[in-house]
Amino acid sequence: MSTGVSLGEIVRDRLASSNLVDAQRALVEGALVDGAVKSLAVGNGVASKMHTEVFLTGLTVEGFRGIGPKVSVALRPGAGLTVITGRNGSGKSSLAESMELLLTGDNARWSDGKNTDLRKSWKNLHYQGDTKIEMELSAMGSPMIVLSRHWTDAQLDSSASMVKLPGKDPAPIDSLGWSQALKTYRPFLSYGELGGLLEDGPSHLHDAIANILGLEEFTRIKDVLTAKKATLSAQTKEAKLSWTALATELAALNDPRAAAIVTATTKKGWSVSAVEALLSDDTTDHETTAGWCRSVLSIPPLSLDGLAQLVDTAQNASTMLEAFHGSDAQTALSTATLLEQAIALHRSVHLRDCPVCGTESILDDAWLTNAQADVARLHTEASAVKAAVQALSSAERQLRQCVPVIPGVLSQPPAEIDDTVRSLTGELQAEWQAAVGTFQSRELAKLIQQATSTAQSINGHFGALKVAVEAVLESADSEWTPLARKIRAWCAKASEAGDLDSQLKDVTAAEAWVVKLSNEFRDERLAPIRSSVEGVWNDLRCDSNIALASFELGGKGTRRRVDLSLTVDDTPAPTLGVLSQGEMHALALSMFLPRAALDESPFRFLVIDDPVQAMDPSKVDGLARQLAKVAKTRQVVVLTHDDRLPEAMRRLDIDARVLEVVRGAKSGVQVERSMDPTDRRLKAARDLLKEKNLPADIRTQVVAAQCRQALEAECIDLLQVRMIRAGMAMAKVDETLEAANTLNDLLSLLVMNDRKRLDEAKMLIEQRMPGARNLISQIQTAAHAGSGATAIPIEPGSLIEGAGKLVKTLRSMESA
Amino acid sequence: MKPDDYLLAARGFLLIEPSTEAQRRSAALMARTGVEKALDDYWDSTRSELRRCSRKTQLLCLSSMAGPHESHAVDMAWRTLSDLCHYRPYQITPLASEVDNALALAAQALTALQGAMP
Repeated sequence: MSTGVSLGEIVRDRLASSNLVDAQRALVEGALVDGAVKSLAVGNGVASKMHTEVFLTGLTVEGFRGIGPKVSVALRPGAGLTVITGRNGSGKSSLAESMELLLTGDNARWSDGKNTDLRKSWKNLHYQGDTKIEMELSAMGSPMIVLSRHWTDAQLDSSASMVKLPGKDPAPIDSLGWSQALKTYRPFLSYGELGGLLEDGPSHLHDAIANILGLEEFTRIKDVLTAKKATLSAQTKEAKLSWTALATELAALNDPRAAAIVTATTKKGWSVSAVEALLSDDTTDHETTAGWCRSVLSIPPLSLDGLAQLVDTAQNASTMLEAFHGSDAQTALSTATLLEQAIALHRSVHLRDCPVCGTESILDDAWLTNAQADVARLHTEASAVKAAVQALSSAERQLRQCVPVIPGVLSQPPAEIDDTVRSLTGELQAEWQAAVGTFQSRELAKLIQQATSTAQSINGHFGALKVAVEAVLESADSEWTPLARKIRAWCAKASEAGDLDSQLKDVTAAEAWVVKLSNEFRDERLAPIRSSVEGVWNDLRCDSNIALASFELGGKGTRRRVDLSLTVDDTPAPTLGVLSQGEMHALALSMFLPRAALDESPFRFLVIDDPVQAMDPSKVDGLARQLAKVAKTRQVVVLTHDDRLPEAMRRLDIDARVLEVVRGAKSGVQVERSMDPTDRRLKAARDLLKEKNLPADIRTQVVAAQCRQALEAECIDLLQVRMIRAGMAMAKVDETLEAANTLNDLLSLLVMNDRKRLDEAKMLIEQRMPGARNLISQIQTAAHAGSGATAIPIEPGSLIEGAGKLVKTLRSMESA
Repeated sequence: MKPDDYLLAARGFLLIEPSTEAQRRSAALMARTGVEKALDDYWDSTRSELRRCSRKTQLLCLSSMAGPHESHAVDMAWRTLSDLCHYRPYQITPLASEVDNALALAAQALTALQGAMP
C-alpha cells in the first residue's frame, strides 16, 4: 500500500478523470476542504514527521498491580521473539498492562466496563511507595524515547504520561502524535481482547479494520456531502410542503389566476419563474368579471390636455383666416408674379406704358417703388394664408379622431356584472356613441365649440364607471391579493435558494461517486490484509475443520460489520457460532497479527498477552510458527502463563528469548533471562561432550560449529540492538547484517564498526581476553569438516569454555 | 524394511476411519522409525560410529555433515513425531490430521536424507 500520496491528491486526481459535471466536482472539492482531508497520508492518518520503526528497549514498573518493588525488564530492540512466562498472578500481565496504560492512557481489559474492580485495584496492595511506570523505546533517528507516568496518590487519572526525548524537556505523550496510530495499529492484544475482537459487536471489528484501510477519511468526505444533502433535502421538503399549502389555498380560490397557476404547477418540471410569470400576467382572464373589470380599468381616459391643444390650434387658425377676409392666397401670389414681371420689363426695356390698362407713362420710378413693396406684402400674405389653412385642416383631422371607436370591452359587459356597473356602462356607451358622431360629422366651427365639453362628459361618465368597477374588483381580489403576495414571497425565497432539485441531484451524484471510490479503495486495500488474515488462519487452525472462506467489510452506518464467511468441512457455516473459544482466539489473532504488522504502522513491536489459553496443542504449534514468522520483521513480545508455547518453540527449533517472571513474597517480581539463541547453542555443544560414542573428530567439528553459531548469534544480537538504538532504519540494519557473511565479518563489524577491519578488531578483543585470537581461529578451522582438525588436537571442552568467555567479553565490550 | 516402507505402514494405520488413538500413535511411531532408519542408512554410508550416538547428537551432527537444510527437515520431522509418540498428562490425543501433517514432514525428511547420501 502506498503511503506517500495524500488522499486529497488521489481524490482530486480521480476527480479530473471522472464523468461528474462541474457543479458536482466543486461539491467533492468542497467536501475535501470541509472534511479537512488535506495533508494526511493515506492509510495511516498520521503526520509524516512522526517517529517510525519504534521498538521497545526496556520497561521499569514499580507499585503497579501485581508488581511491588521496582522491576526492570530489558527488552532487546529489533526483530525477534521474546516470550515472558510466569505463573498466574506472577505479575506478567501487569507488565503488559503497564505498557498499554502508559502508551494509550487506558487499557482494554479495564475499559470494557465489566471490570470496574480492575480500575480500583491498579495500585499494588503491598507497596507503600509511589507507582511509577517507565518505558524506553527507540525509533528510527531517535534512539532514546523515554515514556513515564508517575502517581503520587490513589487516583488513576491524577497523572499523565509524559515523554522525554534527549535534550528536550518532558512533554505530554500526545506530542508524539501516536494516538491515532495506536488505535489503528494497536500493538497490544490481551487474552480478553482476543475474544472481544470478534464478540464486541460487528461494528467494532469493522471500525478496527476500516481504520487500517484509511477509509475513515473517505467517511469524512462522505459525511460532508451527506450533511449537505440532508440540508438540501430538508429545504426541498420545506419548499414543497409550503408550496403544497399554497397550492391547496389556490385550488380553493375561485379565481382564474389561481386556476392558471394550479394548472401550470401540476405539469412536470414546472419552475418558479413560470409561476412568477403567471403572477404578473393580466391577459389570462378576459372572459370573467374580474378580467373584464381589469380590462375596463386598463382603458385610458380621453386626453383632455391634447384635446384642448387641438381646439386652440383650430381656433387660432380659423381666426387668422377670418382676418385675411376675402383674401386669397392664390390671387395674392398671381398678383405678385404679375407685378414682378412688370418690374422686370420696366428695368430691361424701360417700359413706361401700362401693358394692362394702356395708360401712358404711368410706370415711373414712383410706381416701381410701390410695386416692389406690393410684391413683398403679397408674398407674405400668401404664405400666412397658406399656413393657416394647413394648420386648420390638420387640427381638424386630429380633432375628429380624438374620440376613438368605443372600446369593444365596454359593449360586452359580462352577464353577472352588477346593475350599477351595467347602467353606467350603458350610459357611457350612449354618450360615447354620440360623441363619436359629434366628432366625426359635426361642422368644424361647432365641433370646436363642443369638443372639450363632450370629452369631459365622457371622462366623467368613465370615471364613475371605473369607480364602480374598482369596487367590484376589490371585492373579488380580497382573497387573491394576500395569496398572491404569499406566492410572490414564496417565489422570491425559492429563487434565492436556487434550483434545489438540481442541487440535490448534484450532491447525490457527488456522494455516490465518493462512495464508489471509497469502495474501490476498500477492496484494493483489503486484498493484501485479507490474504494475510487467511494465511495466518490457515497456519493457526492447523487441524480445525473450519476454513475461512472470505473476509469482507460489509454493511454501512450503524449496521457496518465484517463479514467472515466460514466453511466447516467445506460446508458454508452461517455464523461465528461454529467456532470454539480457542478457534475464536485463533481467528482473532489472525486478524490482529496482519493489522499490527502492517508496514504503515510506526510500531515495530507487538505485545500479546496470553494467546495460548484455550488453544489445543496443534494450535500452539501453529501459533509458535506464526509468531516466528512475524518475529522475522517485528519485535514480538508474548506473555504466557505456562510452558506450552516455549516448549513448542523449543521443539520446532524456533529462536526465542524466554524471560521468566517469578513472584516473590509481597509482590516482588523478578525477571530472569532463561534462554536465548546463544545460550541454547552453547548448551547443545556442552551436551555433545557427554556423548560417549561420538568419534573425536566429529565431536570437535560439531562442537566448533555450535560455538561458531553461538558467537555469530551473539554478534548479530548485539549489532542489531546497537544499530536500532542508534536510530538506524530497519532496512539498513538488515542490509548491513546480510552483508556480513562470516564470523570474521561480524566480529569486525561489532568491534570496529567496519567489517573490513578484522585485524584491529581481533587485536582489541585479544587485549580484553588474551588467547581470544587463537580461539577464534581454532573454532573456525575445526568447524569445517575434513579440515584436518584431528591433525592439531583441539580439546572441544576448551572451545566451549572459550566461546562462553568470549561471549561475555563481547557483551562487556558492547556495554562499555 | 526400507525407510519408505515404514512410512507406507504408518499411512496404513490412518486409512481406517475413524482411527483409534492407538492407531494414530502407532502411525507416528512407525513414521519416526522410518526417519531413524533413514538416518541410520545415512550414517552407514558416511560415519557408522554415529549410529551409536543419541538421536539428539545425531541431529546436531547432521547439520555439520549433511547441511543445515537437510538437518532442519530431519529435525522437524523427528521432533514432531517424537512428540506425537509420547503420552502426556492433561494433553489430548493427537488428531488424525495432525499425524497426517507429521507424516508429510517425515516424507520431506526422507527425501532430504536420500539426497544427502554420498
